[in-house]
Amino acid sequence: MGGWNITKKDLLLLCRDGRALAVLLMLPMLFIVLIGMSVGPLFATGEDDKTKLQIAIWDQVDADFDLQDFRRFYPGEFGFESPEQFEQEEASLPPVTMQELIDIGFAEDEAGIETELKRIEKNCRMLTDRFIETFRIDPGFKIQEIHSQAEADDWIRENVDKAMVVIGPDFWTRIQRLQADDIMNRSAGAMQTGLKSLDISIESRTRGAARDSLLQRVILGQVQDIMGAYVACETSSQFRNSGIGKSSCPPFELEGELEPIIAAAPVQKDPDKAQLNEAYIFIVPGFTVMFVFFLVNIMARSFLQEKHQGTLRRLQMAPLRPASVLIGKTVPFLLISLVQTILLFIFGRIMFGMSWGTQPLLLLPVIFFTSLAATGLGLVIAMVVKTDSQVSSYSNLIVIMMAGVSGCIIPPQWMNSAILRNMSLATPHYWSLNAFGELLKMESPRLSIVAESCGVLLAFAAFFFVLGSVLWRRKLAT
Amino acid sequence: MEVLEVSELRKSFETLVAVDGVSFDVKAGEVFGLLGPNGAGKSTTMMMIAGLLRPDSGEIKLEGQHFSPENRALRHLIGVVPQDLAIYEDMSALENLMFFGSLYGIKGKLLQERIEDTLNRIGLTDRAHDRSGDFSGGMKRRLNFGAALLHKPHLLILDEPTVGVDPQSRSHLLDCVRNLKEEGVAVIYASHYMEEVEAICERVAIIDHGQRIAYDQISTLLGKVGADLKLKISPPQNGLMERLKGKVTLQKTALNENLLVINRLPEQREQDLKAELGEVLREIEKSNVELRGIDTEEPSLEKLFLDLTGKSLRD
Repeated sequence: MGGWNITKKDLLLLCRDGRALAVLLMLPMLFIVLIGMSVGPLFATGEDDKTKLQIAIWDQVDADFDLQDFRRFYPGEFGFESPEQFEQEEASLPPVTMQELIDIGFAEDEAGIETELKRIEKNCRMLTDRFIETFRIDPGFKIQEIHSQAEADDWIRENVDKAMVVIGPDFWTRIQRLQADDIMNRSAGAMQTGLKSLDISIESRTRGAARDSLLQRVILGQVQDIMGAYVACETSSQFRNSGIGKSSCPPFELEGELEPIIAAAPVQKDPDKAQLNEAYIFIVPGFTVMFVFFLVNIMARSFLQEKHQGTLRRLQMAPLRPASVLIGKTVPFLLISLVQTILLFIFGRIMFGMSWGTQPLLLLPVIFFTSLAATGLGLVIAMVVKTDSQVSSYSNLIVIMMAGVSGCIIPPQWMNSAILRNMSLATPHYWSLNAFGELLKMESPRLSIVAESCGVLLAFAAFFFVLGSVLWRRKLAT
Repeated sequence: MEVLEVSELRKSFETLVAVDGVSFDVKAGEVFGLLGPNGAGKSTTMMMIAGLLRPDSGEIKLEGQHFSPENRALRHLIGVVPQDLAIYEDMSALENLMFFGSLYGIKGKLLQERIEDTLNRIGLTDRAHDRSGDFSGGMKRRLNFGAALLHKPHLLILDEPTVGVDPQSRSHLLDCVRNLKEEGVAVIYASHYMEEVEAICERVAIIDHGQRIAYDQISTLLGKVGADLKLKISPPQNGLMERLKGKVTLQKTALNENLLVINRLPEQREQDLKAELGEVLREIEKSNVELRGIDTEEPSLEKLFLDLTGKSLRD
């Protein structure tokens, strides 16, 4: 009962302390607005970019073929033992004539040859476009298309750690030369040298073994998926006449079309609004958690003031248990902290349309345990400091350092230092942001992550309260 | 009936012995003076009585019951007015009193009645709703005093309650103490204002270096102090002071007058005093020094205090 009277008294004093209310409520709102307006979009795109593999694609294939390309595509039909032999002799060869193509059997007449040429051109464009399109719609990739050498040079210079996929001019020639077996068994046939065999290269200013290996596998897989049916239809009459062939080959006729790619339906959002929402999903919890811990300052000051104005002695002399006094002094700050966090989330929602995620009720335990940990830390600091200047220096240093390390100010995934990332695990801020991130960003939040974070926050709070209580008893004894 | 009995109280802080075997008692309806220079151990003694410090040894009894810091039930019997102001300046007088009353479990109508009574006692009824931070020094002192009365303590500890207040507030506070005494409250009054202590206390204990060096009725203690004779003279010359060496001391008054002080011990016989005075007067006449007057300094608590504790400065 006595403890509750102390709580009521401190709540009354806190409500009359304009400076404390400004620090706890107005300052974070101001920060959220200013940071949101100034660098919010940066946080938004940054968040998106970091979760995707960003690559550039430069398609150098010229799908404007002529009669000579028949010999380039099918050197065996012209009597060459291998493509290499043809390439060695190509410069000295006489031009291919229409009659030569008719004699080999590409078509019965000139019109047939022209039609065949147009069909190959159409398939080249269709399948190369499909090859690039599959990357574009893949949510794991962020694609930028390159169209010239100058553009390629600029991109490489500006994106030090990213890769560019160059589809060389001979890409289609190599595709035309493939046999069904080459596609089915990539380790033995014409594709055994990997991307090089398809005149595809990966260029970057930095070596990224994992990135390049991943890209190589993805590209070869895409070639197999997209080009496989085409190669089989082109090279195997048995396949063409099979049941699968009868349904797979028509798109490669002159008038044929591929089925559209089935991709997940994009969520219809106002792009600017969506981007800002993403920004505030980071900024609001980040700065809220940071400012929740500013409570440490106000709380330490309250304990110190109680001591300096002599009223702590009066509380000690009253017929109250030391624990009642401690709880009575602590609870108001826990309540203020809860109100502060809830108000800031409401503020983010009303002002910026910030999403509360798909399970907003689960935000409440995270808010509670975060406030509990902040109050516990406030108690420890309150027991350690002896002067107002110590309150300012210790609490501000600890709070700002913890906020910086834990990712309240800069998203954790932007931190390049592994040391910083490991250090962040030792802050309650990190676990709070971890749970908020899961609840606010994920369509289906993993409860195990939220529960784990709440558990760690509770452990932090318990540690701080036990330490604070020991220090409190020691303080009373002296 | 003894409300407080303190026996052989001891308390050390590391190597410093702050209180060394202090004993005294305070009866209901008595104002008891607790005196001592700064650092003598009286604050430590009061903190132990208030339950803020645990004595190393000795015993404190409140109304015959053993009292220790854990004994929260007996804390209802004690009220403490600390030397430094201990009020919330951002709260009104009324809010302060409500809060301090509630700490002792007083609530509802009873709390309202106690607050009205206390505000009346300390003369703050008209300013009850004003922010106490805006009060004058005297008003803050009175509120500080009132905050200790709400639970009607049987023992009231006043630690220099009149420091820094104007004569009106001081007089009001002393009247309050007298009224409490009339109501049967036992009061421990610690102060450096000896005239206040003489005015309201019957008995005193003087503590120095942690030990009780005097403890009795004030009148009994003053009976042991001699009344010095003071001879007002023109400036001494012709070797007067050399000839009277060891018999008198020379003092200057605020008006820069010369005073020859003949220290008079309480046990000194009248004929010895007459002989000593006659000798001094003869020497004054021989030296052609003008005798301008003779005065007697009555024994006082301040003189007793200084005689017992010395005149050297304390930290």
